[in-house]
Amino acid sequence: MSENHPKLPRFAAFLLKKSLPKEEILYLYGDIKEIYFDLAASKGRLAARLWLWSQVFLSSPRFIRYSLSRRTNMIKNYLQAALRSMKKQKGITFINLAGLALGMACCLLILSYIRSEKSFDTFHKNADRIFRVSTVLEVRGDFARIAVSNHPIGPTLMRDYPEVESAVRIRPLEGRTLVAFDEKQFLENEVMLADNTLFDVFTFPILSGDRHTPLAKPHTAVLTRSTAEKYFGNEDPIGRTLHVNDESDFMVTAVIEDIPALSHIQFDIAFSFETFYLDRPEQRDRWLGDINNYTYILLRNASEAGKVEALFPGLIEKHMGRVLKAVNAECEFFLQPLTRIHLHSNIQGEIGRRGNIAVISIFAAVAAFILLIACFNFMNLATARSTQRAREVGLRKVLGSDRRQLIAQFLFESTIMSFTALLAALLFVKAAEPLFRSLTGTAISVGLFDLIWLVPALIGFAFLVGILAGAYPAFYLSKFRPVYTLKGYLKSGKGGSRFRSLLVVTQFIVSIILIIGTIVVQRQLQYMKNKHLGFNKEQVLVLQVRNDSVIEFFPSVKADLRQIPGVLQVSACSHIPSHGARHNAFLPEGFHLKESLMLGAISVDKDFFDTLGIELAAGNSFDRDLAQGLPRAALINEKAAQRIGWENPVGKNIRELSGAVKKTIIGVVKDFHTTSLHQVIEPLFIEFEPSLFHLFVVRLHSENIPQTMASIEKTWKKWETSGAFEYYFLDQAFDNQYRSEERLGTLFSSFTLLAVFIACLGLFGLAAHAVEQRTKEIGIRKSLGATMGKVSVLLTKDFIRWVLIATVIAWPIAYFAMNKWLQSFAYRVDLGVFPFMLGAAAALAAALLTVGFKSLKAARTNPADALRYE
Amino acid sequence: MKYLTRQEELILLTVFQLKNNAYLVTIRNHLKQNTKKSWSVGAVYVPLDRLKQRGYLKTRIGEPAAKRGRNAVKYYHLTQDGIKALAEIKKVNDLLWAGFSTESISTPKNV
Repeated sequence: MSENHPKLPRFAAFLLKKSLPKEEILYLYGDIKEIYFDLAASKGRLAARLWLWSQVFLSSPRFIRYSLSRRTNMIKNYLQAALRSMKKQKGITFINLAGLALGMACCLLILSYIRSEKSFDTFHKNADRIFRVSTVLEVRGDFARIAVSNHPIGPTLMRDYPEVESAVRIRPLEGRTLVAFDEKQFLENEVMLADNTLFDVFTFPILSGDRHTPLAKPHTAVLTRSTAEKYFGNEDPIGRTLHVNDESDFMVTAVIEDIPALSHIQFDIAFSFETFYLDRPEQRDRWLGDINNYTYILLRNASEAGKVEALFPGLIEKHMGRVLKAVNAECEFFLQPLTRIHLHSNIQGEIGRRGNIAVISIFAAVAAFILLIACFNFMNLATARSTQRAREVGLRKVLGSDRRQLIAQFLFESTIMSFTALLAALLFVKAAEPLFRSLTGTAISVGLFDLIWLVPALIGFAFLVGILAGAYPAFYLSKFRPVYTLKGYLKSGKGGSRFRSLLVVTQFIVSIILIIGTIVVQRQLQYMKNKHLGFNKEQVLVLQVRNDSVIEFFPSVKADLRQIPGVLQVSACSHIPSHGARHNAFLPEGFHLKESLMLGAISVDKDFFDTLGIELAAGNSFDRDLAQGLPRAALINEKAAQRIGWENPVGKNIRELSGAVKKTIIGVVKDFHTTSLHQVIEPLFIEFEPSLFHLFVVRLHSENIPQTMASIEKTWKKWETSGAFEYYFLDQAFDNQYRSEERLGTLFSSFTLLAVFIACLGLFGLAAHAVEQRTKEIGIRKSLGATMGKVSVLLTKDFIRWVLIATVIAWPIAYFAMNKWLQSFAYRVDLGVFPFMLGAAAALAAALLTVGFKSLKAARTNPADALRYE
Repeated sequence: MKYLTRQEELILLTVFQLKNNAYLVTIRNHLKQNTKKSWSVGAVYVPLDRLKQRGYLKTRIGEPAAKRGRNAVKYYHLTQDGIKALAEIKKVNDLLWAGFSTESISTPKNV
């Protein structure tokens, strides 16, 4: 090719060539060659080479910088075009932005909520190596998975197995604990017993006091920082003594940091576990005794969990095999990873605020749906406006834009929109944060603004949304043939409108599913609140006993309370409905030892059924409140009679497997709910055992309640020497069980509202566009005699059709999903047709309202104005 | 009118001097000779293109030549705007250069 010229050194030429502006590469490369050849001819090849390399370092940066600055010019041009088209249609731009911002805000809120739920219990340094030892008990077909385990399992594992580095047992105290220091006394809710190894397994930083053995000795206590401040103010709490429940003293040995909200173990005060064994030393080594401790083990290696689990059958055989066989029961242990407890474990006896992976998944889906709806809006409106942009596209193409550039331009536009929306969304989030927190019932700050890692994530998020929302318009618009668009051939494309209707239908499918879901959740909630529970929960006051002397004289306390005007009935008991019952194995008369049955057991006095309005199905209730001389009497509920298989239980005997006393059944009560409606009514054994009482139930007259309460308090304090007057109302306690459903309900309805709103925003924009497109048509139709009604129908028809199609698709999906959700309730409403009808009707109404408004306005315009338009 | 940078001014003048033979190589050679400084290709091209963007220069594509490895030449010519710009620069410069000679300037002492 070059006759007698030397060739350019390849590598330098390659580098240089890369930096040259593309449009001018030929000329510039020629220039460089010319200089190089000149130099080579006059000063030799080495000089030429040196020069070329010098250009790599001197010229290339200039070229690159220059072409970059040229590119920002291009971006400036895009920005200008974007701003102009946004300004030209302020209304649609606003709808677009608002929808997108709302969708993003929802999405961000939900994402941060999910993130906080997922990070539960992960703050422990060894979180991935901590496991909970849970138990499976099977007594004659009654199968229970429980979160608790027996006393010796933890210490045994730690002592005998090198895989287990440490183990801790904790035991939350039931009810409230009265704690006093000097004059200050408080009722503490979050008190537990714990082994000293608490601090080896978990990461609860000790702030002051004994750092190594704070809970090693009996009667020692560890307080959290804020609890210590509550009792001791600024004084040093270490070595001080707390007086507990009016009977025992505990010495404060250490103060720890407050427990993070994202921990399923919550406590303000921990007493040493050793204290427990002072009164009950025999429990220490009993494998089948008291099963109420939560045992956590720290493994040396998280992957050895399977190996440890494999040890359990041997341990069980060795320590419990004989007894289990005798009563025909089975016991197993299994390990649950700490970080999965909050969301994934749902077995009996869970502690702490429980998450629900199903709810999390529902929310994740809702977040995705809402964002999808918002993106669809964006795509819809952009394609709808394509006719207006078609000329611009045509002109750009004529002037030499290629398709890639156009796509880049439209993606750039949508990305700008999405970034603007993101800013608005962040403001929304900040504003809605407190509301959202109360809705989810979490104490966790969304804290979007505190997290630096979120910045790149958010930018990525905005890009994603921008590209997602802009992709279709970009590819669609850039496809236009310039000749046609400039000649004005282009009608809004058939393909475009089909795509648009697909998007609208999808939006409405999602909206209708959400509406139906909301209705079903609300109906189930209503049902749970109003269902007849087998007892009357209204106007029932529950009093908590602190001091055992109150129980000793319970007949007198009852008599005293009965004296108060406004008190209708009083009873003492061990459990109230919503508390459940204690569980044990029972042996009915005529059953073999191996056929023992698991029954719930509660202990009540003779007025219990009267006070709560529980009806008797057969026999009698207890007739006296005196333990002495009373025949060993008991009652059972209908469910228990059924389970045992007795048609006429009155007069039959039954005995608790662990006790020796035979009791005679004197009556059968009708079934009543002792737990939430999630659970089926269980077989119940009702005895009269005053030593187990620790509650008083008082039925009040509905009038003058404040006055009655004051009198009750006065009387109560006469007996309760601790001076504590703790009470709550039964209906509240019962309804509190549905708090998580209620939260789900509110959250669901708010998100549904938002989703429908965003969908309607989009619909409104589309309707506006459709009306605009057909202004002339409407004008002509009207001047030819079409009525207002006919014109509105013409304009609304399409939208209605879309909603109807969406309804047909949404129904089966909603049916399937809600049916699944309802399965988690033992007592539930029928799905029925009502929610489906209402969901469709609501969506239709929303669509009619948004579209109808716009089309009515169009139909009412004077045809002369319409025809003059353009 | 926006002011030109010194490089842009020099390049514009060089294009004027070279008449019909102004392309990157000749412009660069001319500049090197007259300024006694080395000019990189980029240092010539960037102001040249910027002047073109501003409308002071226009281009004409010439024939490919063997000595350029058969690449075409891009010649630069002054536009009316370019000529006007040069005239303005000259007018202002003449005014400001008036009475200048190295001897006529006395720097005050004791400064």
